Order: sequence, then structure tokens, then C-alpha cells
Amino acid sequence: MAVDSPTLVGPGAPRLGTTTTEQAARFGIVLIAIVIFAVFALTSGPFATVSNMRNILEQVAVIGVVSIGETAVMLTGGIDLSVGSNVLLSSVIMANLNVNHGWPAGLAIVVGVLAALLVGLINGIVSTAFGIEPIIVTLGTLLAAGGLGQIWLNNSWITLHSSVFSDVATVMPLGIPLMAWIMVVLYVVAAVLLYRTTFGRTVYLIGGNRGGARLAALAVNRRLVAVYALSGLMAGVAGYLDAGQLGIISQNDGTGLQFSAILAVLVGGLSVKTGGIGRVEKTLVGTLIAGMIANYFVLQGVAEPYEQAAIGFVILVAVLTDHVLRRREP
Amino acid sequence: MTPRVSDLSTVEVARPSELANPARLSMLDITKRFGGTAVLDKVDFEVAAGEIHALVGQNGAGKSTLMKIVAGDYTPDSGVVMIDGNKVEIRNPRQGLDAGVGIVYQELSLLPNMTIAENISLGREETRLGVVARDPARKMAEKALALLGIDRLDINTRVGRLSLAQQQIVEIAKVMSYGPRVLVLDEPTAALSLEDTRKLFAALRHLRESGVGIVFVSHRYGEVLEICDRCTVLRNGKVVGREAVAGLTLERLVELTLGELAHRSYHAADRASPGSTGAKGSSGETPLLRVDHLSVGSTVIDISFHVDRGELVGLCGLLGSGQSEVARALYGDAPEVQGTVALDGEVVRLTNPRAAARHGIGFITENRRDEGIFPDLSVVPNVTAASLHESWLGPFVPLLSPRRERARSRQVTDQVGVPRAVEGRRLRLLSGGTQQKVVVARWLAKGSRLLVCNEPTRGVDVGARADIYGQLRDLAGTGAGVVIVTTDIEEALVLCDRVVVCFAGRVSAVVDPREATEESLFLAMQGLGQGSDENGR
Amino acid sequence: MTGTRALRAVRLLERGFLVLVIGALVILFWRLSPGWLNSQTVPFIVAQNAPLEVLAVGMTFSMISSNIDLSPGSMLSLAAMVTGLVVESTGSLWLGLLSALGLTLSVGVVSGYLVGRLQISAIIVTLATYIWAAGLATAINGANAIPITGSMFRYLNDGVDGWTWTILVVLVFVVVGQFLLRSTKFGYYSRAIGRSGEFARRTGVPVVRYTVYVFVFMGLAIWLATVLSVSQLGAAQSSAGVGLELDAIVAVVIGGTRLTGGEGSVLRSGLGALVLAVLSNGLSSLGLSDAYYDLWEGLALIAVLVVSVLLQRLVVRLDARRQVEHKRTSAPGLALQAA
Repeated sequence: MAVDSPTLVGPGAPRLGTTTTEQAARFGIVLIAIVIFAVFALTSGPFATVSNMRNILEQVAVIGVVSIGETAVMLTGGIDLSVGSNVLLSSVIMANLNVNHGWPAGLAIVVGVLAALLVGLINGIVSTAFGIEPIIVTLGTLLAAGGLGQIWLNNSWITLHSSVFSDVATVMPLGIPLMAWIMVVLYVVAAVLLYRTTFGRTVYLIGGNRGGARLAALAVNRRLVAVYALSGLMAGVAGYLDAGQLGIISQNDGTGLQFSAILAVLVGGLSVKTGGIGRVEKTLVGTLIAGMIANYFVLQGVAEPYEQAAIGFVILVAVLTDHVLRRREP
Repeated sequence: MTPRVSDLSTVEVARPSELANPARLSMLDITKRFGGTAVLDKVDFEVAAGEIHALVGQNGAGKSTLMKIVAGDYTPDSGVVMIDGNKVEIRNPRQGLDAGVGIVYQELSLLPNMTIAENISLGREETRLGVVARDPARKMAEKALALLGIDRLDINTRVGRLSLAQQQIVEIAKVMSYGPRVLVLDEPTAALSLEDTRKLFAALRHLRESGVGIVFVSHRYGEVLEICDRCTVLRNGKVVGREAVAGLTLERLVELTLGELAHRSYHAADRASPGSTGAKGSSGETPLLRVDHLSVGSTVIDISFHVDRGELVGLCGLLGSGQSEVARALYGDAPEVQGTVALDGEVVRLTNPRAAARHGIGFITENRRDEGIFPDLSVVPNVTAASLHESWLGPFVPLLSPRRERARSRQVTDQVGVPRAVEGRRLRLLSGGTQQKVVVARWLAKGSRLLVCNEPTRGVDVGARADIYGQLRDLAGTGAGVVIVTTDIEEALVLCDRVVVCFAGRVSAVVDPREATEESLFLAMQGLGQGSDENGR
Repeated sequence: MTGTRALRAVRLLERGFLVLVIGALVILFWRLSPGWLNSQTVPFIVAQNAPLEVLAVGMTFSMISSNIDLSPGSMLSLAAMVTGLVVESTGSLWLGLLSALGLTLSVGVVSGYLVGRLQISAIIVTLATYIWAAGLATAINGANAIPITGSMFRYLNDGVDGWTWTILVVLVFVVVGQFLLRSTKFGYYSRAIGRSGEFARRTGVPVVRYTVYVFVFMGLAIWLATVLSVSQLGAAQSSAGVGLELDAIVAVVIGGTRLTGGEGSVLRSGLGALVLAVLSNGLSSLGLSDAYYDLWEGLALIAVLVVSVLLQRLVVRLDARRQVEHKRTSAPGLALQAA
């Protein structure tokens, strides 16, 4: 899974060897997804139905969107722990402004997203200006933003009425919830951003060799701030989707979301230690796998905690597999 | 043998008088080949007990290979290594230590957050009921330092608080605490000032008393003549001289080092690319680059020089003389820079690499692994890394066009000699020479008006080297200026139009390759310059 | 020379920083809510946050060796539930606690091996544990608590004027932890590994073994924290440890230990935990919810880090200036006279 390069397809694509381990690493995750799908479909009647697929897509949309930002951050070799709180904060702001202060939904949503963007900016600026490890800085914002969101929620909850929110879940172009479309579109945009823009290329360069990127006269610090801001932005959008999906903002929103995102990124094949390797569409596959597993457990009546326990073990297996595969590479 | 935990307090070097053969280290008939070339050819190298023996020779003469064999990083194809008359086979550094060979590298292996005593005894601590016993560690540290004649250093000081010279001494003490019979010092004075060097030498003289055989690997002949007892000179993998230092002159040393090349001169006819010769600088026009009284930190004290358009200027000097830091300063990557830098007559402030790039300066690093290549990306993104905006679909469309990228990349990689076949491979998998060519290609793709190259052909094979030289000359031919930092005399003379020699942070000579000999350049690098600071024009 | 004096002043500021902060917080809360401070406040605060303080000790070693550990919170919950389960079915408290110990230590061994030998990032390994341990903990008895009582627990919570045996246990553990860090091979090697695994290996430090020890030690700390937590609650709850790992990390970072560098102090981590404890207690005495605690905790973390970086930069700048002057005054390297 360490064999990806942004120019994977098209000109300059790395023509790697054709050993089985390399092929496995590159396409393995898609195969795994297909296998999982097949197994689940065979062992559970209601799994492979259209309505269930729709369910899955709806359920993974929020995590999927957040994972986009997390992918970009992890590509630079960093990590963003604050996204869970950021989702909560932005959705609280949106709901608060719209329901309690009568703002038009559209405007409230924009403000909420901007707030999340701001948190991301803070992450980026503090970590680059002061040279503090991102994991610690984002831990700080996780706590602070989460606290702030909860304070504004004031130990209660906010019910949303505006259709601008609920539309994401109820409007279904071609039978697929709007939020899933939004997620897919964002992934496409992210892919273009990462593979076809200077910004995206710089992300890979920074992750691949930060010293080298600096000497290649790239604006490393500025791009890092932008990457964390992007993560914040995605959290803001995810906040909107979350609010729309649930229709109600409560205290537990977004809890642990950052770990789900990191999980999706890892399962999709990125590495935490080294940046500069990985592709965002694999994160999408990782998200879908996580979604399928969660859904399957629910269908089978497995209690949520067991599902959670299983997910933890899955991470370990995924990581060990990745480690083994990586060992066999040239 | 390595002192085990129980004898932490006994740091002793075995007395050689007890042994039949007094030579501490004997390397006999050592041959090592890489590919088809004999990097070492029937080399004999002996170090007696209680002597400081210099191992000298140009880069590529075989010094480092010989020492790597002693260290256990390489095994000789033939020949024998003996310590105190006993044949040893050293397959890894650990075995080397056990066999009695201690190596002090330029890169210190001390932990700055721990004390001297803790560092010296790291990995061999003695414990009483689980508690680390400080006394044995203290004794070991004091004894080891005593071998070097140091008795006033507080062993409870954290290493991070010590000066570089002191740290170096601690590193030597640490190695000595393993009781080696042979100690190899690799360029120990490269980063030291005069005072610090004197202190180090005092310590080494003290150490000599203990009977250990010291190998002093260095390029600084002045120091060799001062501190060493004997000297072995390598050239092209062979031993060409083995002399006592007493009575040895610098001229003789230079002669041995360079061989018949000592007096070779590089007339205009010998050097390729007619475009690089020719009267430059005499036209009276503003130079492309003008450096005035540059000082960088504590390494560069006062250096001035200029580069005209279309000129290839070499910055030459021994390691630590300041040329490398000047290069960094020209790229905005050096701390505490003072003095002025002017491009085309306009004074510029180069505060970081981006500022330098904005002014059209490019930089090829000497450390391509850590700062040059992007190991997990293929050739194309590596080449276009510094000029991404030129791969856009259109002038205002900020989207990268894979086709344009590949075309642009191919344009330069073809020029530089990177085969199309490896275009798609990750840089990590390519040879050093190809990697370096990719880095050169990157800066050619960017188009600089001044290209600063720091050791551009280090670790690069001969073929790639010729290609890179060609590229640099062509670049100069287009009117750009090129600054080449190098420690390789031949490279400086063959490639450059003018060579500025740095010594101890100042310019010791400015050499015209057409009139200079390797010997004169060599001497200038040792601090014996014909002329002092370069005058403006 | 003003350089050295300024240097010394700044260093002094760094050292006394924590105590100043604690003092400032105490005064602040006392002014805001005068009834808050009485003879029982201090022991109460310490005892109430005992699990955090104990975890901070373990986390110090983790971070010093450059391995961040996200698992303690979930592991504490799981260990508590396991204890409850065993006590429920066997009736023996000792057996329950023993099972918990077995659990935390073995997870420590496995984690340490994965990180040390297989070189998998500590974040991933401990993140996985964080997830599955929390899941299992909830799976055991849902959201319901399992009551656990025992004479030992009563003993721990007994004391004079608020000074319970729990506090003594915490203090002893902190002192032992500091001792381990400063005076044993475990401490030395943790620091060496944290600073540079490569150098450590070169010098013959058994990196793998000691990485495992670090995680096992954390397992021990988790167990101790579990005992104290369960004894205070009188029950095993699956939510017992939620968020504690983050608090522990914050405590250690406030205490001055960074993720890179191989430097740190258990005592200072203890003080860092105390900062959080005072903060938490003070805020709740003002009637403010947990959310306020989170907010101020996050802000405090960032503030402390920024200040410490600024101070460090100041120190470096003052130091460098001294050294440059030193080198400049000595003449350049050896030069020969031509023969």
C-alpha cells in the first residue's frame, strides 16, 4: 500500500514491478472491499438491498467528508485530532443561529462552516509558527472547540426545522441521498485538488520530503496551514450534513469522529509515520468498508460495543497486513 | 575485549610490550573491488602502539573504504586484518568493537539530554538492586577522560551544554572506555577552531601515552604535520608513501598525494566547451553576482567574490572552511548572515529559499537523500517540483496538465541523460547518479539565472558525472552564472572558469585554472594562498 | 555579561512556571468563590483526580520514549468492568483485581512488541486499543455499573480530614516514577530511545525490550488507576475512563515533556495533573459544566506550549550569541608558514 504516487495513472505513472505483493498493495483494498461485500451479502439477507445500500451511504457521508480533510493532513505527515469537536462546534453554531436567533438557514450554515475553517486555521498556524507537533496542537483544539460547542449547547439540544438541513437526507436524486452525492462530489474535487493542482502536488512533496520541499522553494508553512484549514472546512461541511441527517443537535455529536476518520484513512492504505504516500479515493474505499462493517453488525443484531471492538481489531489487522506487505517491497 | 559490566572501572589499554608483534593494527595486502574497479589494491597499512598515524589521500583514493573495512562495514576481497598480531574478521561494527577497534565519526552519537557520565556508560550501566550505580559510571567516565588528559570537566554536565570541541572529546572518551587497541578518528578537526584544535591535540598526545594506536584521517596537512608521528598516503587505491612525519615536508606530501598530476595544468585546450573560456570580467559590466564581506555564523568570517554572466565559479576548500555555508547563504538557507549579496547590481536580502528562488537563484544540495529527492515519487514530479506553475494547462488555469508536465520533464531529462525507461520509477529505486541528474534536471527546468551547486557530483559515478558537467557548462553557455562548491581539485580545475579557495572562513586564493596546477590549488586549500581576498575587479 | 544572567532568569522562569500557574489558579478560584478553599479542598482535589495523576506517571514514560499512548482511558474502563465481572461471578475482590492486572499487563506487552519490534506507529496501535477496549468495556454490561465493595476500598478512602490513603498511594507512585526515570536503566533507556532510537541501538541499548517495558509500565499505571477509580466510585462503570488519556497527555505536556526529545520529569507531570485537577474542581465549584473544563483545558494546553516555545527560543538566541562571540575571538584554523 506504499506504492502510490499522485501520478498513478497517465503520464509518468510509476511502472512498478508486477510482483503479486505490489499488485496486492495497490488494488488490494478494492478487492478486500468487494470480498467483504460478497461475504456480507451472502450471509445477511437484508444487506444487499437497495434501501440498505442507501442507508450505508447516508451513514458514511459524514465520516467520508471528514476523512477527506484527514487524508490531506496525513499526507503531509501530520494528524488532525480536532475534527470531531469541529463538527460539533460548527453544527451547534448553525443550529443556534438558525433556530434560536432566527437567521436564515443558508447564512447560518455558512457561518458554521467558516467557524470550523477558523479552527483549522488555528491548528495550522499554531503548529507551523511554533513548531509544535500537530497531534498535540489538534488535541488542544479538540478539547477547546468541543468545550465551546458544548457550552453553547448548554446541556440541552436543538431541533432543526428548516428543510435546508433535512434536505440532505430526504432529497434523493436518482434514489441516493443528497448527502452521499455531496460526499462523492467532494471526493472528486479533492482528487482534482490533490492530483492536478499545484497545491495538491505540494502536499505530496511536503509529505515526501519536507526538507526537500523547502529547498525546492515551496511555501511549506503556508501550505501546511492551508491543509489544516482544509480539514477544518471539511469538518464544517460534515457538521452541516450531520445536522441535516439527525435533525437534532445534541451533546454527543461528533464524538470520536476523528478516530473514525483516521481509521478510514488507515484502512484505505495510508501510513501514519510517513507522509507523501496515498490516494484519497482509497480513503473513500476505507470509509465504505467501515460503513459496511458497521451496517452489517447492526443488521445482524450485534450490539454496538461489539462492533466497536471488532473495528479496533480490524485496524490492527489492517496495519499488520500493511506492515507485512511493506516488508516485501523492493 | 569489551569491558563487561563487572569491570566497568577498569578502562585499560593492553600494554603492547607483552606481545610479540608491536603493531596495534596491521592491514596486509588488502584488496577491495567494486564492480570492476579496484578501490583498494594490495594495501598495507600498519599502526604501531603509542603512535598517531595519519591516513591521507584525495577523495576517492581509498581512505574511507579502508576505514570501513576496519569498522566492519565492508569485508576485503583479499588480505588480512590483524589486531595486536591476532588475525580478526570484522563483519559488523559490534564485532569491530569487540576486536579492539574504536571509531570516532564526524557525526557524534551522544545524547544531549544526558550527562557525560551517563553517555559514556550508556548501554553498560551497572545496577545495584535495579538502581543504576553512579559510582562505577563516574569512575569509568573519569578514567576515560583521564586517558585524554582531561580532569577538569564535570562529568555531571549534560552533553547538550558542552561546546562542540568538548563533545568531541567526550565522544572519544566514550569510545576509549571500551578499551580499544586501535582508535580511528575521521576528520576530527573539520568543525573546530584553532583553539579547539589545540585542545584536541593535547588530548590526543595524552592518549598516545596509553599505548593505543591512533589513526588520524584528515585532509588538513598542516595538522597532520603537527600532530602525527607517521603518515601513509593513498592514491588511486594504492599506497604511494609511508613516511615518518619528522623531516616530511608539505611539498613532499603534496607530491605523493597528487602524483604526476601535481604539476599538471589545465590549459584552455584541455578544457571542453569553448564557451566557458574567453575573457570575461574584463568587459567592465556589472557582475551577475557580487558577494561582499559575507559572514555566516561562526564558520564564514569574511568572504567576497563575484560571478559574471556565463561564468562557472568554483568555491573550493577543505571540509569546514566555509564554502558550503556560503552556498547555503546564497540560497537563503543559512542563519546569521551578514554582508551584502548583489544580483545584477541590485542588493538582495535572501532570507529563505523562496526569496532566493524569486530572485532566480537555484540550489542543488549536497545531501540529496534528506533534502533533494522525493523518494516515493517518480521522475516527472521530482523534476517539475520547483516549477509547478509552468506545468499549468494555461496561463491562468491553475490545473496541472499531465501532458505538459511530462513533456517539460522529458525535455530536461533527455538533456541530462536520464533514460526514458526509468521515468516512471520511484526515485528511491534509482542509482545515486541518476538521482542527482534528476535533481539537476529540476533546476534546469526551473531556469535560474544563478545556479548554486553544493557538491554536485558527490557519490555519482563517472558517466553521470560527465553528463552533469556538460549540463552545467551548457547552462553557463546560456548566460546564467554557476557557483560550484566542491572539495574535488580535479573537478574544480576542469569545470570552472575561476576558483575561489576558502580556508578557515576566508578567501585564501583566487585561482585561474588555466594557469594553476593541482599542486597550487591544493596548497591554497591548505591555507597557503598566493593571493588573499579577491578584490572587486 | 547580560547574556548569561538573562539566560539564567529565563531558565528559572521555566522551572517555576508550573507552581506559579497552580498558585495563580488557586487564588483565582478562591476570589471567584470564597467558600471554595478550606482545609479539605487540597486533599479532596488530589484524591478525586487520583486516577489521572497515576496515569500521568505512566504517560510520562510513554511520551519521553516518543510513543504516544491513546489507550489508557478505554483500558481503565475495560479493566474496571473485568474486575466487576470477576467479582460478580467469584465474589473475590482480589481475584478481580488480579484479572485486571493480568489484562493491562498483557495488553502492554503486545502493544510494546508491535511498536518496538514491528515498528508500527504507536498512534495506530494504541488507537486500535482505544477503540476495541472501549467497545468491550461497554459490551460487558452495557451502561450499567457493577457495584464492587471491599474492605480494601473502604480503607483507601479512609483518612484524616480528607487526607486519605489514596493520596498516599498517588504520592508514592509519583515519587517511585520519578526515581525510576532518574535512577534506573528503565529511565535511562526510555530517555535514550526517545531522543534517538538509532543512537540508542548503536550504543547497545536493547530498544525493543525497553519499549515493551514502557508499555508494560503504562499497563501497571492503568491498573493502579483502575483500583483507585473503582474504589472511589464503589462500582465498575464502562464510562469510568472516558477521556482520561487525553487529560493525561495534556497533564504531561503542561508538565513540560514533549513528544520528541527524550526529556521529561514525572514530578512535573504530577504538577501538570494538579493544574488540571485544580482547574476541574474550581470550575465545577463555580457551577460550570464539564464543557468549561474541556474548553479551558484545551486553551491551557496551547497557551503553555506557546509560552514554552517562546521561552525556549529566547534561551537559544541568548545562548547562540554567547557561543558565536566565543568562536570569533579565537583566531581561524591552523595556517602554515610556507617553508
